[in-house]
Amino acid sequence: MMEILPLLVFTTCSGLAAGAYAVDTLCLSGHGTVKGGPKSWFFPLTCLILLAVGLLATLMHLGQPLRFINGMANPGSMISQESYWAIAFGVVLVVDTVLTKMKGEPNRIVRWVGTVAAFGLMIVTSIAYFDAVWLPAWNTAAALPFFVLGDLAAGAALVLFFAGEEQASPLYRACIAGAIAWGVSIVAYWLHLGSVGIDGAVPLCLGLIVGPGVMGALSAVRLAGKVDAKMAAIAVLVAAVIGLVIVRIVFFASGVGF
Amino acid sequence: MADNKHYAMVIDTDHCVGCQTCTVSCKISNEVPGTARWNRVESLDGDVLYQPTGTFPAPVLAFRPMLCNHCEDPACVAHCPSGAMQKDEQTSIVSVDKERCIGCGYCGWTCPYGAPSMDDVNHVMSKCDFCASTRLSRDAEPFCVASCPANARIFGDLNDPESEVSKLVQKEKASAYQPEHGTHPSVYYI
Amino acid sequence: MEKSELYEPEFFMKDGKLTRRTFVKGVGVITVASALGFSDAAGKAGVAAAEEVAPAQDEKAVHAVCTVNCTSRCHLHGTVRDGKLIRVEPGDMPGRPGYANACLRSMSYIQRLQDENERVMYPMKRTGERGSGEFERITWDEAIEIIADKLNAVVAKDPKAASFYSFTGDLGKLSWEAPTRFAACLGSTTWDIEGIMGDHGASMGMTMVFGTHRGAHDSRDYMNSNLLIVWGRNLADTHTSELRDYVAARKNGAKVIVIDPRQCSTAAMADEWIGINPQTDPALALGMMNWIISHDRHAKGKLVEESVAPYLIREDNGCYLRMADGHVVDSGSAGAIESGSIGSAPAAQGQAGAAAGTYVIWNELTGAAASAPDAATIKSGAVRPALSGTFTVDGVACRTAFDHLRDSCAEYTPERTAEICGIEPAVVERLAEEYIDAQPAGIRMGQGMQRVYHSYSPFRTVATLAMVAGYIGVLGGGASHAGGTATTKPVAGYTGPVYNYTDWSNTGKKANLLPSSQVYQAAIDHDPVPIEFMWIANSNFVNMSPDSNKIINEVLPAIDFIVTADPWWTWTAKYSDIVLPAATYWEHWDMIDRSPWVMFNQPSIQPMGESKSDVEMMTMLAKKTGVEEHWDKTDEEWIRQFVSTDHPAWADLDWDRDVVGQGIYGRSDADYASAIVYADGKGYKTDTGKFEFYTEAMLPYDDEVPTWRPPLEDPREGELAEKYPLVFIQYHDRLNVHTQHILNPALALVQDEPLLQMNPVDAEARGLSHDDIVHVFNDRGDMKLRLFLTEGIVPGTVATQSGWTPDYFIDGCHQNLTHLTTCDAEEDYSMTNSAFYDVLVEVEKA
Repeated sequence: MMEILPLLVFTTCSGLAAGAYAVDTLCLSGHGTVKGGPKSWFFPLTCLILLAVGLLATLMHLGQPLRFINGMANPGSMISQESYWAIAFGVVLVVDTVLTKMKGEPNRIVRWVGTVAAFGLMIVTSIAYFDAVWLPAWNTAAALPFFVLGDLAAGAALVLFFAGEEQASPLYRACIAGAIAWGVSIVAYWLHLGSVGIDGAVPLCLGLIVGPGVMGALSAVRLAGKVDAKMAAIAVLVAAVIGLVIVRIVFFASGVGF
Repeated sequence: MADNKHYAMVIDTDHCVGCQTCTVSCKISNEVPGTARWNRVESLDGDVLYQPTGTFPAPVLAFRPMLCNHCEDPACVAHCPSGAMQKDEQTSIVSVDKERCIGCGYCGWTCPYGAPSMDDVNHVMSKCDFCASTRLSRDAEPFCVASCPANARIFGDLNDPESEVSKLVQKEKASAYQPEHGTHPSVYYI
Repeated sequence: MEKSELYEPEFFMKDGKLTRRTFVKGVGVITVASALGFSDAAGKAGVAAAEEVAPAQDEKAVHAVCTVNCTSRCHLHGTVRDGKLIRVEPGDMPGRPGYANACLRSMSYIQRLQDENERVMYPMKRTGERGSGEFERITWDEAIEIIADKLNAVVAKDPKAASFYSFTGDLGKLSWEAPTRFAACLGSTTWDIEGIMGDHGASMGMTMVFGTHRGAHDSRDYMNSNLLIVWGRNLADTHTSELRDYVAARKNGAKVIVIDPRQCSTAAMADEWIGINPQTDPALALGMMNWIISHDRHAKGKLVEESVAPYLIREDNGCYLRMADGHVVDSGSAGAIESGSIGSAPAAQGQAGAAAGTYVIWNELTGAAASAPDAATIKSGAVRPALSGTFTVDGVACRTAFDHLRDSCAEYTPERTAEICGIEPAVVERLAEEYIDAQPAGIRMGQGMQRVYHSYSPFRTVATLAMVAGYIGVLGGGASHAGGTATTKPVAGYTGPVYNYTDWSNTGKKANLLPSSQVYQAAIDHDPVPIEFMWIANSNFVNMSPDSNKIINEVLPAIDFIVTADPWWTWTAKYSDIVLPAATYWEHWDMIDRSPWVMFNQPSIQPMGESKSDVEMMTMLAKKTGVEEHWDKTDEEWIRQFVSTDHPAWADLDWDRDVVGQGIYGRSDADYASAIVYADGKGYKTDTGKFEFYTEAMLPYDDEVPTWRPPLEDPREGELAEKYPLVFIQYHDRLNVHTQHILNPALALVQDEPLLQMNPVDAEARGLSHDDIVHVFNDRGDMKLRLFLTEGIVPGTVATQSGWTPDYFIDGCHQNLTHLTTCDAEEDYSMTNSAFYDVLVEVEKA
């Protein structure tokens, strides 16, 4: 577990931050989740904290964490690229947080720049695993949607948590769409695991139900107006994060052991 | 440069008996720390080491000793974020700069042969360097070659057409393992 | 290319100087240095330098000879840094560099022997129950005092009631012999170990036919072979230093066939593996002989000249016909063996041609009986002995020994042979045909096939096959047993001994040497001697002897006082009353004579804890037991004395350079060329002076010519077979020789627990899967371990590596399953050989 914990924390936290930031921009056209009030800058700050936690976790993964700066030396390496994109994303988050706090609402240009960085981070992270030729469990194109769609779906749930009542409907619809797409990517990865002789059926099924399943179903139920808004938002986020953790544990354990 | 060496190894799987003297010799003689290992032995055609393939009464027992392939286009070097993983143009040896390595392990994941092995004592990557400092610099063959009781490992310079490795690669049709990865290994198998 | 051109061994140098191994073979004068281009100075063409790489600045080169009991005896080159051995490499072998070797076991041994948690560090006295492992540290003086008191009391009553049991854990001259030499000083009992260890069947079989217990072609001789049969021998792991020669022979065109119930490591470099049922090797050899003889392909000339084939056998009593002064004389007490002529360690050797003149052949030239002539006389054409036929001599009806052999073989049709061995009849026929077609074909035999009841049969029968085919004494042929085949040149006019063993041999009294097959009954029944005091050295007796439950429950409790001297906390040590820390071969002076080399050990590192050499222990004990006059030298003084004769062998010896510096000396009278045995029909040490496949001594057991006997625990039929249908064998491979290498840390990279090999067919029948934990049992005991399924083992047989200790089994141990059952024929001939591989078991899911 100590082997995969840093990877799990990194991909979950930074992925959640990047996914949420991207969804927020895409769904709400960069206008932000909350107009006015202190909550408006909480969102980029939350993303910033998540990213920071994720990056701290990567240090735990390094044998020589104090030399992390060396890890940016090779632009051809996805590990270096992860650093570039993460730093860029982090800088934007800082700027966004400060600007939003000062001005009361987010700057759209900053948001779009940050969204590009967030996508960059999500994509290079997934490519980094795809490039792991020695580990058949990871060396698959299915790793790309498995990570990116997972980040986006769980990100949508996080945005929902911040969003005001008036913005909830498109977000729930985004959650449903995200859940379906993410679910498909999990099934694709499941098939890949089977093709390399690894049995991930039980935990992947569990992740599939808890993650996309519960998240999608709850969203649909809320759209039908059957549950309390606050409860629904919290439940969707919790389900998405737990599902994300479960399927990623399967991913990492299949590659380097639990 | 004409003086450059292209150190390479040819491994004779017809005569390898799977004893792993190479594995142990490398581990001890190079004082490979912790759980790291620079040599290992696999089943040649099967999944489980020491299980033959085929069925009784005519199963086939064969082995593939594995070490760093010192590739022409090494994946580990391409993927190393720190530049610690390097290919020496004068010897063609791929080695890791322990002072620069951040210990991310990515070279081990991206090497098609899983050659780099984490030194869990010093927390940096470690790997076979054809015994460059322990043996080659002292005019001796790598430990795994000298210790092989079947003479199944032949080491030499591929840039020298008269070297035994050159001749074996040409005449015995020695070939790289899994060339489809495109890294162009310098270790060949018969 | 003609084989004769290739014959010269790759690394052979007549002057015995060392050559550097090059990896630019074929460009011989280019050294490694120039090939690598790292050093200009070292690369001068033609400069012969030592093969060993010089030590680094903070390191020191040291040397030893590995004294554990595989067949190799490798000269090791160690490196010491800060007082610790950090690596082991092959040491130079003067005159035969290609033979230099260090195996993975010797390399990793230094990890274990420098680990104080594994070593017995101090003299220890038992405080808990035997086997509890509870001991307290005492001083050497206290230990010697306790032991001497006990020993003196026993010896005062009956010296023979004190036993000194030295095994093969350290085969250095001093270590191995010190305890038995001490027994001799007191007139106490010592044990001829080859029987209980399970190597004596080979010696008996070899002695029956060749008159001597060993004899092998130099493995380089297989460059002359077209076919090489490795029979019951996993030489790749058990005589590793020879493997390069087999590889070279195969590359030279020799087909290599491995006959073994398991597809052993050696089979990986062979052309073919023939998996036969264990215990059936003689049947296969008989089947091959039958095919060869019935196709009239047998070597009639060689059989007549060099074997007892034409010797007349009396029809009335089965004895050799003997004549004196032209008349038949009584064969005397044929079959009876001189009492007390047990093997001696090692096995009995006949008087070469002692009674050669009295044997009789039928001379076809004169149509009359004649005294059996030597090979040269027959070759000259002066006599033509009949190979076959029935004759009457002086009123006694006779048949030739060959006819007896032919009749014995006749039962072994391809079909019957195949049924016994578990192979196809066509394989028997093809193997026989390939063998006789090869001209020549060599056979390398191994002890794997003789750990059975009637253990003399495999070596005897396979050797007879080689004689029938005409391959004995032929380049590229032979039926060889064990290594150590290098030779020395005769030195004209010098008759004295090479070594000065005068003082070492002078023990005042003589030891009471007994067959080790009787050690259990001695302890339990006091027959032939009681055991009131037992000194165990160089031996993990409990772990390496059959039926460990019997040892623990019956044998050891019957022994009043047990001392074990060992480097390791063995199973045996835990059942001892006093445990003494013994030094390993890297820690004390010693010597091994591996002619033409002599190899030396010396303290290359400080002995761990308070370890001492066996000689040091015995010297201390001698002072307290009244025999100190025989123990008046230090280890180093003994070694110096041994090599102190004026024999020409030592002409070039320089103590500091060769003994201290290199740890090996190539004798000045050395001959490093490849050698074979029994060339030109010479060298048979049998009573007849010929290859003796007809053994009078076996007449009482209806085994006078080679036959196959079903095993004691026969899987083919009977109640036992129904209860326990699987044959259980052990094997030696890469991981260990005996228990001393368990589990050197680096070996865990190879394998870290004992495994039970089983064919998937047998697993399926029992609902077992690969990696299952299984329970293996019979009436004597059981073990629990992990299952390893492999197609590389014959169905009906399961196997475990020898040498694992109980610590690594999930439960029990493999020796709980084995047995020591006396074989009358063997006791009569010399002593019973432990039938370790003649064991039935059943396996179930644990």
